[in-house]
Amino acid sequence: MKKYAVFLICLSMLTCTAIPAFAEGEQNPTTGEATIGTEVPETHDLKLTITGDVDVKVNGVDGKEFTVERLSEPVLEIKANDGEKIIKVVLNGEDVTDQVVDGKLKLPSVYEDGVYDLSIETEPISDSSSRSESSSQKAETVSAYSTQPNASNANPATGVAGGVSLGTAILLAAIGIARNKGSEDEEE
Amino acid sequence: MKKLISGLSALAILAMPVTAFAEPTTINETSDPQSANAVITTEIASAYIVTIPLDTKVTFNTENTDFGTIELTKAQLDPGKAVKVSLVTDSKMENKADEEKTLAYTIFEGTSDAVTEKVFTSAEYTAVGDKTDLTINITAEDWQTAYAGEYSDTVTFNVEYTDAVPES
Repeated sequence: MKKYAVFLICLSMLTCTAIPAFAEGEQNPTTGEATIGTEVPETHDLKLTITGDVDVKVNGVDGKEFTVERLSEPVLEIKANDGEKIIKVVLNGEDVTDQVVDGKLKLPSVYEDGVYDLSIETEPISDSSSRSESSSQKAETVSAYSTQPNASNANPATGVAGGVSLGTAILLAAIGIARNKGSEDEEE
Repeated sequence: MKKLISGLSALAILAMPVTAFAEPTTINETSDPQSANAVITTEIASAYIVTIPLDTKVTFNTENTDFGTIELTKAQLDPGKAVKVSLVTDSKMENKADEEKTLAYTIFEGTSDAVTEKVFTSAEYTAVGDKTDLTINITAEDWQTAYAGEYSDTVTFNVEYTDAVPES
């Protein structure tokens, strides 16, 4: 009897245990998730190509390949050779000469790896004595045409002596023209 | 013990499903008419399977990244019904180290190499194979100003069995 009862119980359990089978649409609405992610680097690698005979440092360090912090503004220090001065700086095709202060050029905020093409033009520095000498020579040249004997230190282009010489020349020319005209009138 | 077993047995029997069949129609020589109708009915529950995009990692400095596809891969829908999938997103990833720092993004329809200008918000699907390709867009300007670090955001796809909107 006992066995019969146990068998009945087992049979009833088998037939009554429900296996939940929901259609997908029955849970309404259902949700699903997805994660979007990315990683922004801490640093960026820069390469420098230099055209021109100068020394260049990035943030005070020599070299042509650098790693700098993201969104930082690295400073290029450009130093011309002794006896020369920088007259033009072109960065990636853009003339940035005006942005160079005391030989330093601040780069824009770095947001990716990149290559910087730096092109620098230099010229020899002429010292102040030779410059004065040169001015003097030009003034003397002008004074040769001048009626004023003491105009040697004046600038021929902008100086007072130059102005006087020019005035004199114009005056002489005017006199000459007037004379010519007078002689033509006489001939007539 | 015997009583307990008997009780349990009775309970089990009570819980058994009872199938009730309609009384069969009997036709004999005196029946008029000599025919009967039988209605066969069945009910198929609506069912569908929608696949949604997987987790996606965007490569640094990439403006358009394939996010995957929303697709109806199984559909037993009632007439006039549709499966509507809506996207819930705040359109910005948060920096893991500093939640104040964020990186904006937009989810457009289309694949990364043929992205459209249509921002995905929701779509309805009625037949197996109906799908929408999605692309994650991060503008160059947003990349340029993003602070360093790991960013992430979780988007939610709400899937709803709904009345189909008639095509206009």
